[in-house]
Amino acid sequence: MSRLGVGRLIFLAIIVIVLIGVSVVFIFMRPPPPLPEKKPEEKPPKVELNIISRHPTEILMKARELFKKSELAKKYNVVKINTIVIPPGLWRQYIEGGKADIAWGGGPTLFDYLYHEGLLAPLTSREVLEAIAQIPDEIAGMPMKRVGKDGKVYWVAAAIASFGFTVNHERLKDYNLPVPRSWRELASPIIGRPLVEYGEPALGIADPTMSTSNTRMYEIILQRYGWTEGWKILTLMAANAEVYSGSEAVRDGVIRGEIAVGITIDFYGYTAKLVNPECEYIIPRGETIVNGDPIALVKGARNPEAAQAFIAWVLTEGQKVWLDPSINRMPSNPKIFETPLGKNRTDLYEAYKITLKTKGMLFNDTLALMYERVMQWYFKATLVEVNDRLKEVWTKLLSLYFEGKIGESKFNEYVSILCAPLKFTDPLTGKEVEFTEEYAISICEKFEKDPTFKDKLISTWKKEAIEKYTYVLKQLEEY
Amino acid sequence: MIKRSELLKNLKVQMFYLDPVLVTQLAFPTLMLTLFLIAPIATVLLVSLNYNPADIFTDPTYVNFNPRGSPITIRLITFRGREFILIKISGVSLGIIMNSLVNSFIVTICASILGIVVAFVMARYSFPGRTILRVLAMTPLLVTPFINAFVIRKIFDWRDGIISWIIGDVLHLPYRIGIEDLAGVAITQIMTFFPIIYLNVYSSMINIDPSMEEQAENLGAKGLKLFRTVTLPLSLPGLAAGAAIVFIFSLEDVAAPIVFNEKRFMSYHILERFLEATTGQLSPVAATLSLILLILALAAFIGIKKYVTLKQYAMLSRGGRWSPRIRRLRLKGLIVVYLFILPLLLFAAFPQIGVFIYALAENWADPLPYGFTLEHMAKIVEDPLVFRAIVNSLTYSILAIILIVAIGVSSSYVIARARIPATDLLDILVTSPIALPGLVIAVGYFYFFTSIFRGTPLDPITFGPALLLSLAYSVRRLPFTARAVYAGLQQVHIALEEASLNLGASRLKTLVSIVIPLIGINILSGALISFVYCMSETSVGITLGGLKGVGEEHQAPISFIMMDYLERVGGPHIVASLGVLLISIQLLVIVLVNVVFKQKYAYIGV
Repeated sequence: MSRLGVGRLIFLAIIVIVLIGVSVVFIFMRPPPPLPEKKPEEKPPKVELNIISRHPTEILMKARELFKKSELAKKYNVVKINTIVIPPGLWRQYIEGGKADIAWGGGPTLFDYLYHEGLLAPLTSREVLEAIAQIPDEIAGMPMKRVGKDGKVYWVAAAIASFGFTVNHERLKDYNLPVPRSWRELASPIIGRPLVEYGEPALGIADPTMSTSNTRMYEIILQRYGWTEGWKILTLMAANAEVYSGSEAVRDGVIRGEIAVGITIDFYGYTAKLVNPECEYIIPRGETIVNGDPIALVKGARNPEAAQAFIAWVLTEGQKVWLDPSINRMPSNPKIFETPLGKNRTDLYEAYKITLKTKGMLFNDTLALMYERVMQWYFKATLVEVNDRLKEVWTKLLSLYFEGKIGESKFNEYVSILCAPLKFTDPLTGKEVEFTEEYAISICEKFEKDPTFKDKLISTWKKEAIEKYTYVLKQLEEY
Repeated sequence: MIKRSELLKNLKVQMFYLDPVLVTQLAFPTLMLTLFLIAPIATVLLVSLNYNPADIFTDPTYVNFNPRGSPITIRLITFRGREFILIKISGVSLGIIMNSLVNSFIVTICASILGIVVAFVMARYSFPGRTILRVLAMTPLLVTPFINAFVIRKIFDWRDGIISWIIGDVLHLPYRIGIEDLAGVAITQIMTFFPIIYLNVYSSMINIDPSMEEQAENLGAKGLKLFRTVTLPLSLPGLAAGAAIVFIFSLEDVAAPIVFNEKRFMSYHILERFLEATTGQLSPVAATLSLILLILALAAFIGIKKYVTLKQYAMLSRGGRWSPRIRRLRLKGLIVVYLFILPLLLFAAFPQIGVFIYALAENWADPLPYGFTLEHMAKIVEDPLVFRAIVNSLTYSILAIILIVAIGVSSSYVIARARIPATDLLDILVTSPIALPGLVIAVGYFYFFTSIFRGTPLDPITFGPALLLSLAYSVRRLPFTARAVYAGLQQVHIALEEASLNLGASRLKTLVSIVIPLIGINILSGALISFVYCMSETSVGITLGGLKGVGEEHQAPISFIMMDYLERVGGPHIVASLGVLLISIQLLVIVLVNVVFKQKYAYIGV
């Protein structure tokens, strides 16, 4: 082979190598072929949700914190949740003013009122309907959903609650009292004994004009025992009690031992037990109801899709909010007890099972609503504002009874006078009327709308109640 | 008959004062106070016409001359397996209106006795530890809404209270002592308010010309006779002013009745009705009761008007112009001071000390606190609701201070410099908020701004109460700044202003370049004192403050959140931490005003 031939061969080899190298470089370095065009994922616009509520802020803040981390929040791009705890009287204004998307907590009475006033919107999204399907339709005979005439769901229970009382065992022991098991026992002379012995009431109740849960308990008693007997029990309970301004104050009174028994909603009882292990929540058997505490989409919500996603979350994953040791409420969706977190709260699960088995009573929500405002104020006028006089006569009666100066029948006779519904002159008609259920229903609308009429009635009730208590006291002074 | 030339002369003088700047300075405070003080209060009067006052005065729950209950009960009890003599002081009820009135009288009398004794000892004697006693005597003045009453209740609970625990469980004596209900409120108010009397009487005593007492001594008076016939009568202006302020404060106090769950007071009743108003109606009874409260407070104010109006205050506030007659205490006196006065002052200061204990203890359910933690203190920053309340209070207070300085400087300048008849009226208008119960202002604001200003940013239901709170604070806390500014103006000779005016400067230029720089420190001190009282304002805060609910964007101030948190599990610890914050702010301002600025303004009163 000639030198030229070798040189040509080398030249060709170099060209081949360079070509191969260039090709390799070209292959690896060239820009990737354009991928089939893919639309960037469209993120929904940022959403801000407004929730009006009666729940304590601890619950709302916990829910907000957990929801923000959820997939649903990301899906609907919920960036901000504003929660506003306002009195029920202002809810209409907030809803009509477009300042709310969701209403949450406050009891079925309030939500039924909103529903009847056309302030709620039906729950329709797929996510929320799937979540609603996981909630039982009824618990202990009480509805957990409000289904409208159109077949759509307007509110659904996010939590459940029963009504009863919380006892402080240490204080019961101090006062040498048995553990009460029924409403009637709270009205008994036994619970009144510390009044005579220590000058101290053993029971705590709340002013119904300041507490919706206590209002519900008084309504339960009125329906369980009937109007006349119910007022007898309410009167004697008030006579046995320190009347607090709100249900939280009753709970704190039991925790601190100012009182030995306080009427409370169940979760206040569970919280009390966690703070002070001497406390225990008692369900009066056959004398309570299990309420669903609703959540709903309000009419005119600005972000109905995101709002329904939030409701769906509350009914499913968000049920864990109730299990927080600082909250202790009963979930409405039992599936939460199947999660690791739920399995840790065996105490709440036990309480849940007891609540499910609760022998409830028939309760007419509509009827309660028909006289609610009048009942609250009659209670306040005759049992709260003149509580010192009621207590004075009751303590005197009890002393005479315990000392054996009056017998059982005489005692009962005085109790009947003390607790009988008032007879008074109706400021509207000028006629003498008795405070019956029918009368309470008949004046309810005027009572709510006319503050002067309301003040006049309250003043009349107070005077009549004082007259009655003074009459009994004078009778007793003869002994 | 006034001659025409005299009339013209008068008119000329008036015209000299009524230059545009002074007219503005007169018109601005007048307008503000008319709109944000007079008009709301007038609305209360109007609304109360809907309710027949006879219904109130014939209602035995309001007025009842047949006392209910026993002031003190003593009974033998068996408690936790032991026999005790239970002594309970509860008080008697004479109906809501009478209770308020009688309670205020009792509180005023007891606080006066205590205040006079302490003031006398401090003003006339020197002894080791006097400074400590002075600090202790002032301590209850540090405002900590709700939580100090909470501590007092804890002291006097007969079951697990500190006193019963010491007597019954530590000393094993067979007694348990409880103070509750009406008596609980009274004792709380006495412990809280007596320093007001102390300060005012002390200020009067050190202003007494020493020669008066010396002459009396030369004439043979000494001891109690000297005190009764010379010292006390000469201290009466301070006593009258202090007593009237205590009377008004006691009348409108809601914190102690709330903590003792004692509803049989006018203030509590108005508050309850107000809270109910969020349902859309405010009962006319609230207006009628507010009116009664207002009349009682105004009666007390008129009694002390001459001591608290700006013109009089400037004369009294200087303090210590004489070299005081201070003697060393002898042994007998020392025993009295260390055995009675010191424990008494320690006891009165304990609620404020207790606020610190509550804030820093892990738990205080038993008679003694348990553990130490900074967690509660951290919560006031970490808890968004609490932190927002602090930010709200700061914002409202700063806004209020801007208004207060504007109104205070304008009104004080007009009152000090313009010799026109309207100034006396303006003087009363500017100083009267010190005597006007905050609850009445709150009820008035609610009626006035939810009706006439419905739908505007001033309507607290539609837009929330933020703006109204700032305005209410600016009116309520105005007297503190106005007084400081007026006192400053008294020390600036008018010749300086006249010189400036004669050299051609305008009134505005004179005001900005001459007057304000000269009284700058007074303005600052007054503004700081007003600021402190805005931060701790209670009555308006707990009523109007809650009208936008409680949420992340709430508009409630510190006092509302304190009331709200008092009823939460573990809440009192957070309330106490807020109390510590308020105390710290107050201490800082006291130090700044008194030590750094060297200003001597009585905190409350003359």
